[in-house]
Amino acid sequence: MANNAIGMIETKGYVAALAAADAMVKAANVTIVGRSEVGDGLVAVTIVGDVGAVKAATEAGAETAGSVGELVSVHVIPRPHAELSRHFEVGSGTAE
Amino acid sequence: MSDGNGSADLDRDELRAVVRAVLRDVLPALKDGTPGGLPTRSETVRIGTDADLVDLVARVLTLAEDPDMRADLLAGRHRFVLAEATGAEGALPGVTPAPPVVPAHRVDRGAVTERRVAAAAADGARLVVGRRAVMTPLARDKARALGVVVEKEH
Repeated sequence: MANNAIGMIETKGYVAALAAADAMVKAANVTIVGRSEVGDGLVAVTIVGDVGAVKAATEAGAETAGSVGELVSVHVIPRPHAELSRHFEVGSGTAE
Repeated sequence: MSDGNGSADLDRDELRAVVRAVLRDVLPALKDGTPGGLPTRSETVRIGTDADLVDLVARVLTLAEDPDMRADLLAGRHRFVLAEATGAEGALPGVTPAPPVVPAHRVDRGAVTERRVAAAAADGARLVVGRRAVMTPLARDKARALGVVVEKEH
């Protein structure tokens, strides 16, 4: 599997982030590569996988996060630049 | 013309009378917008699509093959009337028809998913995304594919 896409879901509150992460890994063939808390209750979960899988996973995760708690943002980067992994914790999401 | 001549003055008066009579005949027709005093034919056409426009052009070209008809067309004696325009004027003079109302699907919070976009598309509705609602990437793709209008509130 080419892990060439990264997906991110940010929620306000830990529980919504955890529920979203669970929904994402169950919905499609993706891997969680990071969880970051930036304060003010904001928790972001990052996943990597195939573009289609990441899009499907974020779809399911966003729906869950929205129903459990407060969804702040959802985003997918289909082909992230290699430079990203040097400064962000995006695992193997960058193109090999 | 020989001025000062009695018979010439008489001729002039007669001429004036003749011109007056002719004008009396022609002027009312001119006021009605029928040049030459000839009756105007009008043809009702309905233009809703490009195909209707092509049909009209074909009809005009066919009409123009006849020289008399061609002259009538050029002089404005054979006219085309839009079906919608006459219908609207006839029904409600001076009142413009209300713009068509597009129903809106509204999402105020949480995720705007692909399914929500598909539901809006099925209803032929636009999608109003509230300030605190978030659109997923898949939903954005779907909206673009189905041509759903997405309005984001700020």
